[in-house]
Amino acid sequence: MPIRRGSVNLARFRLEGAVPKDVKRWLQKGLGKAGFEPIDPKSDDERAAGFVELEANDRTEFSAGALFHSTHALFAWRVDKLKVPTNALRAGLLQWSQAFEQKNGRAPGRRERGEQKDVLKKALRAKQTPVTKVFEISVDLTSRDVFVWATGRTVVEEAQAGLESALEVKLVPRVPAAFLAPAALDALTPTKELFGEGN
Amino acid sequence: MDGKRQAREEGAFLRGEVGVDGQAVAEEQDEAQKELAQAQEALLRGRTWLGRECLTWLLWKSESTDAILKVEEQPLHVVFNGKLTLRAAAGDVTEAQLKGVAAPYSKLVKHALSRGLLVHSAKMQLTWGEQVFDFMLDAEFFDVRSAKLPTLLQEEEDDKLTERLELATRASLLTDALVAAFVKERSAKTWATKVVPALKEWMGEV
Repeated sequence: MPIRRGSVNLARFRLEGAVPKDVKRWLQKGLGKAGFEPIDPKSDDERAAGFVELEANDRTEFSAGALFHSTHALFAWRVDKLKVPTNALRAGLLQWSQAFEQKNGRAPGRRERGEQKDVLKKALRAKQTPVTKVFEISVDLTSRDVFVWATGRTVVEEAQAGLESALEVKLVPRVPAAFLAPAALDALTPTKELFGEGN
Repeated sequence: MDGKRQAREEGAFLRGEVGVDGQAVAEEQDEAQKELAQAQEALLRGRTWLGRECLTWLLWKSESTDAILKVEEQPLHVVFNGKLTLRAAAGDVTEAQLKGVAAPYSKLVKHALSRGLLVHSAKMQLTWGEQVFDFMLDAEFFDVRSAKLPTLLQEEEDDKLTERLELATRASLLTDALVAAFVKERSAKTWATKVVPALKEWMGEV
């Protein structure tokens, strides 16, 4: 849990947009709306993502006691992945092909192989446990700073989009461009003398 | 037949389609063009060029060891103290990585900077009052990476968490203060007339 110990990796944002007076209630409601829902084993979904409580990554109630700490809201972005191991699928298919050939005196056709592959995939999928990863998020209720305690771009961008959609706000990355008004930013171009024209 | 083949090969060589070894050079050219296009795209994506200018400016400002600025009336010192990645969007070299505690202020780095390779990511140490923060910044996202925060003073788990959150916020605020100082200089008229010439002069000190 990087939020509690170890070296720190932060993707930094500032929350922009209208925020209701009752910030706590608004956060609880918004996160609940985009709460994590596990992968349905009967579906074809291979991935599920959503918000969970920080201390219990299977809970999405976001009670005040679980969500707020000092002047921060603390929660997490959970990603579950369910992947059928290719090696097992290939081995199963090979075994079936050999048995089929022995029984029928010919190799299975493309369609037969395809059908068997789907059957095997479903059977293997039912035995798999999803791989779970949890990425912590903190929102400073005073400064409106939002930190995703990770720097992998895929997960950061996904968590950013999840928060923006759940809370109906914009998260602006804390890069130099964010410190300039749009008109001033548009007027700037790279400094020719620094970038040169080649080395 | 052999004569025709030889003539064909000679023609291809003269047209620049194959090298002296008879192998096609088109693929090599495409690869170089692709690499350059990627470097240019990376420079423009999310205005990364502004981030590279910012980190290069910070490297220059930090060499004197004076405080860069004051935050809440306390001086903020910055020292680049390790791995440095330089990137360019043109030329033969599009990226160079340098390691070594003193590498960021070396003549080699200044020479590379003068040739258009600007700082893309850097390991640095920020000292603010008695607090010392070590981390890496990159020009594209300004994420705080691999940060070592000052030692926690609290002992209770809940208090430790509060203190750690405060320190992470502090690291972010100090970064913001440095970026804001750069943006102020970058937007001023003196950027082109004073700052850039001074930066170029510093890069030329080799």
